[in-house]
Amino acid sequence: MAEKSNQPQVKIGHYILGETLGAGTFGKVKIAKHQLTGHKVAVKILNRQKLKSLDVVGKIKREIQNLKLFRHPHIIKLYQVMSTPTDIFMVMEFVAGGELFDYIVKHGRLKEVEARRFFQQIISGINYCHKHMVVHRDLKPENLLLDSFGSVKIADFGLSNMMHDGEFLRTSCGSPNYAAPEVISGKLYAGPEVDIWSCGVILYALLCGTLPFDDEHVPTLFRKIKSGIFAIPDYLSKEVVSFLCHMLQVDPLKRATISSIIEHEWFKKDLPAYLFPSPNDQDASIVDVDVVREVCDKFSVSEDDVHRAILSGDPHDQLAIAYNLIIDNQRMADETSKIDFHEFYLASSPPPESFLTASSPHRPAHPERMGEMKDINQTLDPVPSVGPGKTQPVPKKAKWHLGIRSQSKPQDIMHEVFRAMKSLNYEWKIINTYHVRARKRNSITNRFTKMSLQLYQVDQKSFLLDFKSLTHDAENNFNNEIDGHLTQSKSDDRMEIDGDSEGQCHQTLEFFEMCANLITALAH
Amino acid sequence: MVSKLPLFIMSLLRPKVSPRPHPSSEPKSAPPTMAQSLGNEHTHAMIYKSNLMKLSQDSDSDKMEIEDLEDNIDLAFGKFMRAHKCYDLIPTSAKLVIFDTQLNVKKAFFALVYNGVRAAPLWDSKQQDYVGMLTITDFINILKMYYKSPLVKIDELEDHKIDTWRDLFKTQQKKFVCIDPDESLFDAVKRLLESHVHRLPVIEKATGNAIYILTHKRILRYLYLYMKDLPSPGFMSQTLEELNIGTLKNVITATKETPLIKALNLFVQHRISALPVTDNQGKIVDIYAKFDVINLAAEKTYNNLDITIEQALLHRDQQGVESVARCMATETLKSVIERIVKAEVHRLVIVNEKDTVTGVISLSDILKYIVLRPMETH
Repeated sequence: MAEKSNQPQVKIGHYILGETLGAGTFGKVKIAKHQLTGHKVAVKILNRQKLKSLDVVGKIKREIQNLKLFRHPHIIKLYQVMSTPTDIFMVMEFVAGGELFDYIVKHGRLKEVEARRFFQQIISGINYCHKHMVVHRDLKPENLLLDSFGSVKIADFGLSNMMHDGEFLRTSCGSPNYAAPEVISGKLYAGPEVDIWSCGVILYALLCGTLPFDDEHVPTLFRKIKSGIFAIPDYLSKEVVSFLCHMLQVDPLKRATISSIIEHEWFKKDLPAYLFPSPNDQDASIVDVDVVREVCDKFSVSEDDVHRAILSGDPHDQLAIAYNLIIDNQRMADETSKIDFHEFYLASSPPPESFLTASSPHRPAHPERMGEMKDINQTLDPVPSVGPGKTQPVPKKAKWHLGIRSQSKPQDIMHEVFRAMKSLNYEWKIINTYHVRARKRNSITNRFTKMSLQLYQVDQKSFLLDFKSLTHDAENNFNNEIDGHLTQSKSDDRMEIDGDSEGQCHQTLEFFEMCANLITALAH
Repeated sequence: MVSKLPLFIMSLLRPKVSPRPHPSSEPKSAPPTMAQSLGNEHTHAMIYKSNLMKLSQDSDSDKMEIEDLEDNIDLAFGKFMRAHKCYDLIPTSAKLVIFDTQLNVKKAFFALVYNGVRAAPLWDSKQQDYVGMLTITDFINILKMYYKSPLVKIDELEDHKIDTWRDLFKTQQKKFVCIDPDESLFDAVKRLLESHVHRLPVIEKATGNAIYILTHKRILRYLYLYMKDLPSPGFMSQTLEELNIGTLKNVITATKETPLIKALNLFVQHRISALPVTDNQGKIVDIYAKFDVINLAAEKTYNNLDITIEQALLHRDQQGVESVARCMATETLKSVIERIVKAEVHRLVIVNEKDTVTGVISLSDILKYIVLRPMETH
């Protein structure tokens, strides 16, 4: 109580604000927790003075609306945007793995394999955003976060557009090492190619642990960037060097494009399929009415507006972008629901020992997981506690057997089997020396329970008497198989099909009881 | 000497093909069309994918069925359940434990924990039939009935066979209910709710084999998988308050200091499956469920029930208010269903803005409201 009352709780919607996680280009970021579910989010607090006005119904508002529709495994999700007269609050996905930048600092330069994995995820995210007409413009390791599975999540996509013209450049001059030459030259238009340059710098940083362009003196740094000349360490493979040089081309027109990156041999190696899903196979000329309605709902526009936007062919129209995002999300939702269905039919009660391994990494352990049974052996009797100093033997898990193992001579085993069957009043039919079919009338249901007993040799010395349940289906096949091979039988006739049976049968349990009785009789 | 094996464990594989085609009485037509293309002409049609496994490559699996909703979207879930069989939600592979009634009760509870299952059908060899279920509730009843003090061993737990225990408890014993895999999920929901049971064994008539144990949780999870493809009844976007669903007053709660034996009595006396644990201002701090009681068997600590709930909860990985799945009465039924399915729990505690407990909503409440009620009032 005492600790809590010192600081009044600040709530944003249903989220209770917590400590500050960091301060980025655009403002402070704080952690927050949902008051009911405990779900953690990151809340970015933007000062309005630094931003273009958001009150105008228009481009910017729609852009933010669209950012909420972005769904990609390697992009930080934006859940909600709330505003007050002084601040804008952006409620975003929280990831626990820290910045990729810190990861490089801690681990030094990465092996090509590891760098490639990160880089593939980054390019996948960037490709998704570029396809939906959003350029990041401020890619740097601080904006690349890691989740608890060690996957990259790109933060701050689309935020640069919200800044006043010029404001963006002024703020990002704090760390211009990743900025493309044309950006620092103050060219006003900055398209997808500036992100490619930054990717080149990031890949270099991943592979070398240093920056390709670096100088404390900013004008010198700018000169280096504009020259496009950087050091190439010996340990880099030829393949990756050419790849880097293509991305770090000063002339934006000669620079690599996303599609040329995706096609590059170095990039394609070990590329997971989910990063670049095959394009939508639905016919693009058919307009999905439900999606149009959803866009209308979200943007408070008429259906005509949306239709016009889709037909205009303007790829930058925010309504058209929204439409395409929703179509994309539906496709992704279909993919996820396939996984949900798959999980639904997985074994629901795995044996205790597999609890830890069976649950997939994305599903937390079941809240009502049963504890391990302590100090108990296979027959559920208590294990005597072991005195200090001695180590408790690890209990062996039972193996699955239905039958009897023996090291006696095969003839002796069969002799015992016949003796036991006789004592239990079973009727039997001999198929061959080591294979018998037995049956027993169930006095309550008046049906026969039937089983087959067959002796197998397991190794040089040991034999296994296998028990098999004979149900009607199995039996019919069986009869066909052995027709003509009948040698000898206790009740000379073929076993009659029990047509006059009554009472509910319980195939498996009656068979188990028969096995249990036989095992008991054999043990005597 | 080997004694008769009183414990049966079966590992069952779900047959690949449904044994028989849908013998459903529901009117159906089955044009293999996509939902969207139906557009405006079919506003009263409900569409659902019949053969469960979207992922299965079977050619007939994408079959869609349309059924007249008689202008009443509220019936969507009920009709969906009536058109699907219990077989449809049985996992590909499952483990089932069956006890012979000659088994010692203590061993039976140990066996539940040892095998990681929460209930087992009971097989009576003399009658050659299933006679009931053994669940955690039986464990609670035995402890409650025979516990005297931490110093006295519970002899009844040590000596009784399942048989003896069931005989003594005959008057309060529930009738054994089960369901055939070919019966509809609607029947399953009805049977679960009307018999007030939480475990419904699925027993195949033709073979007499038990193949699965159905629960509210699995049924709602199955329905939830299809919910986005079904028309959404109006009540889904109304709040719990508006619908007056769940227990919204006279909620039985406990405190951290409540002795365990008292908690067990509360379970039995009020026929509830969990106790929200509150502080002295009524704020939620934890939850103690019937399920947690089985841990007494796992740890063999059932001889002392004078401990407090707080002590009894120490074993759990997650404790405290964070571990309690909650909702507010001002939330929509839709979001409550989503939360309860994702949290994989049997109930949500309803709290207000200040985290004070105001109610409880269980899977039974939800299934009754969204499946059974619309069909019965119709």
